[in-house]
Amino acid sequence: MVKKTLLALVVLIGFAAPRSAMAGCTTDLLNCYGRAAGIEGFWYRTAAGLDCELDFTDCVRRRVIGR
Amino acid sequence: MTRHRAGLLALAVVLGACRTSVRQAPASATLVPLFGPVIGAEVIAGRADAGDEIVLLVGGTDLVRISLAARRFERVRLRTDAGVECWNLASPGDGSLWTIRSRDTLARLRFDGSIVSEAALGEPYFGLFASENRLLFQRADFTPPGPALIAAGADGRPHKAWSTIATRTFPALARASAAALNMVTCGSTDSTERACWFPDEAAVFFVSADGSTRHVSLPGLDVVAPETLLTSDNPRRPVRDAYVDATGALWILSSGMPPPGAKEGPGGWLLARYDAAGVSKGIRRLSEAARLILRADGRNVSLVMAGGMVGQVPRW
Repeated sequence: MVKKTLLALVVLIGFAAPRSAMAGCTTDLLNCYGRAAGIEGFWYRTAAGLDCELDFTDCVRRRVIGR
Repeated sequence: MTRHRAGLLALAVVLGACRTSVRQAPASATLVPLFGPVIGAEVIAGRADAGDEIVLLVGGTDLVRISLAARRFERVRLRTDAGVECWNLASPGDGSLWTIRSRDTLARLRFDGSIVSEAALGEPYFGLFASENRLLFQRADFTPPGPALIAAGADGRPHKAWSTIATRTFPALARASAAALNMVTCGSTDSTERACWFPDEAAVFFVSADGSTRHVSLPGLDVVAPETLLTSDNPRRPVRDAYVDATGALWILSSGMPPPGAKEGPGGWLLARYDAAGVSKGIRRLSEAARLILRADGRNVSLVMAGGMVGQVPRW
């Protein structure tokens, strides 16, 4: 349920239809958000969410700026 | 009278057609292999110039030193803990070699792969480059706009904004996506200016060592929507690599379209030359995809080919 809500949120805030990489960075991000959402405590949860975003940028940068 | 008007109309149509720009298919250039392969299929995570040699960080774990003059190369593994990866390489004027380890640690390397020293940066960073005698950092900033690159202070740590390149807002995209699109890459230079670029723009910023910045659009290069860039396994990027040669000419390696039947893989099919004002001086379709511009001299442009060989095409 949490993952479905997060997926809907991500799409709503503008993640345009991921295609081939759906099984990659974006899915990892959603799964990571899902795990972070279950963490007790606001600050720990927020920090875990930020780590999810850093992991996402690590993942996509190989394709986006890697040579 | 009617015939006169019809004649004028026909003339206007013909003149209009003449003014319509039709993009010509680029001429081809044969990429001749010289030696290698110097790398495999792993990502090139960084590049630094050290005298006559070029050093690549490949796969986040290995250094590859390439000598074009001697046509030889050497590969060493970084002496980091298992599972630890590095990103970007920078070599300021003193000949030292630096990288970002595990997002938040600045590491000084030796060319044999050993770690000379490490310093915790206290926050995550996306990138590390060098301009003359200073290191340049890109913070992992999720709240644009802000300075894209930060120059090191006297203590070697990030200190103040370098250049006027600013991260951009993308109201329609999620934070992490916007951060990814704001990752800057800076290319190599033999001149007084260095080219830096965002991954989604057919444009570069020419930046001098003192940080003065010019934004120059590059005609003739295809761009894709940011969403496509972020969600493709092998996105078509207008600028894959940029190199400013000793004459101030800008060389751009661009993804372009692979020829029919070509295997899909990392690398660019178009090599373009521009003058310092961004005026196109010709685009060539390479006979094989290339991944990096190693050097452009008075006669040839040397590249790392998609298969890992070092090759060259004649300059034009």
